[in-house]
Amino acid sequence: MELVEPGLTDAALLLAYRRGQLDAFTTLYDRYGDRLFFYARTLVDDGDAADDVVQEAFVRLLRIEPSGPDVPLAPFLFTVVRNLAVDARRREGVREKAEALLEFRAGASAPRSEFGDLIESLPAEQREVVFLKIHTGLTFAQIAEVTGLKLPTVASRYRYALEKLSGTLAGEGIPR
Amino acid sequence: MRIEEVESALRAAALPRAPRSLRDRVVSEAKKELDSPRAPVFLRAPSAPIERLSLAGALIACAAVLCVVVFPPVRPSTKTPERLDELLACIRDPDAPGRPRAVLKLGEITGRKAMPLAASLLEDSDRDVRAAAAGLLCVGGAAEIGVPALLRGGRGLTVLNLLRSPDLWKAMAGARVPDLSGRSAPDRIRAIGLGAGLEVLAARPTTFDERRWAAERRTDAIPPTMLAALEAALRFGDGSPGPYEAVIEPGKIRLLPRREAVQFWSEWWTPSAPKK
Repeated sequence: MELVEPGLTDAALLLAYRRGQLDAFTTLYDRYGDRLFFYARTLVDDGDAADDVVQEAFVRLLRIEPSGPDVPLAPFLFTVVRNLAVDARRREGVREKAEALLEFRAGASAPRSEFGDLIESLPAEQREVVFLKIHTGLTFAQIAEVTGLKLPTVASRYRYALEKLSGTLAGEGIPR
Repeated sequence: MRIEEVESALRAAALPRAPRSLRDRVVSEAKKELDSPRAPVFLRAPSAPIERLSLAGALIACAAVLCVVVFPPVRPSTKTPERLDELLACIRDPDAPGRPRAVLKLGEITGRKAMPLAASLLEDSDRDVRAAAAGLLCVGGAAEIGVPALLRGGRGLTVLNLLRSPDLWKAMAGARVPDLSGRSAPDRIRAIGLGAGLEVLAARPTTFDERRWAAERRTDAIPPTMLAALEAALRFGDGSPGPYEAVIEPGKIRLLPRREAVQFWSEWWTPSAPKK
């Protein structure tokens, strides 16, 4: 009987994989794959580069030791994707500091999506925080770790973004 | 529009799906890593002390010991199910009686396959379920997760002797117990030590619980092996946790009050500390 359940913690799934259950890793991928892809796709221009970034993030996951059974892997994965995106942009020949140019382009170069359309009106720096808060389950402190921002900055960007969206969506009605 | 409504709308808005080919590539990498002979040790094998024992043997011996002794059925209605689906149903039902025993039974039946489930049960609301799961992880080769959980709970630490002194543990798990009926717990443990050729060292009881445990006239059934009998004797006659934990080492069994035992095993487990 298959003991890999969708409700298992990230660390439990990783442990199961390390005991030889490939299905556990597939479950882990299904848990984060789409969100990591979306995140990568909004940070790098090229779809193939985004694929490579996500694949490399998972390969690195294979080799880490979780520090405990309750430790979620999301902060690790999103941080790795962001760092790899910076590297990818460096390789693209960007002369300026790559991180400064790292822009969350949901709704621009990334594939269109309901979520991307909703946050299109926001400044890029607010979009990233909103995405990470809404779709990854990260706390503000974890988002600060992922993005390298200070905690109050993350919280205020999120608040300003939602206030702005509140006005926008009230005028337009929430898309269904 | 309220902020909560905006958040709710954002959550409901779909993200694009990642290409299927990406999933295939990632899973293929994971499979390669799993199959690779150069894969890191933790991918291929449990930790060294477990390797010296047969894993299946260790699981069965330990789970059997813990099943019979550490979580004795208090009422007939708490009989542990035997079938896998019944065990899983029992474990998943937070109100089901006998869940700790079901966890151990599952480990006995499925071996290493129970490890992910055991890891997830470390967050269970039932302290005994958490202890059972942590013990199972220790026995099943996931000590890096099981030991810290056991130390946090501060119960069932005697199973750690399996990791520290695997040969002694194995010997005691297989040795038949001498006749111990009608004795107090300290008498029983001394007799077990005598039978195993081990001196029993214990501090004089000082707390109320320690004195009560030492003076209690025991009438409970005695399990057939030395190890199970030792673990049974460490509990009160009604099956509740006793005030001592045993440290089994060459030549002796030390009985440590629970707080000292937690300190001892914590120091032993801390990588930077010298192993005692």
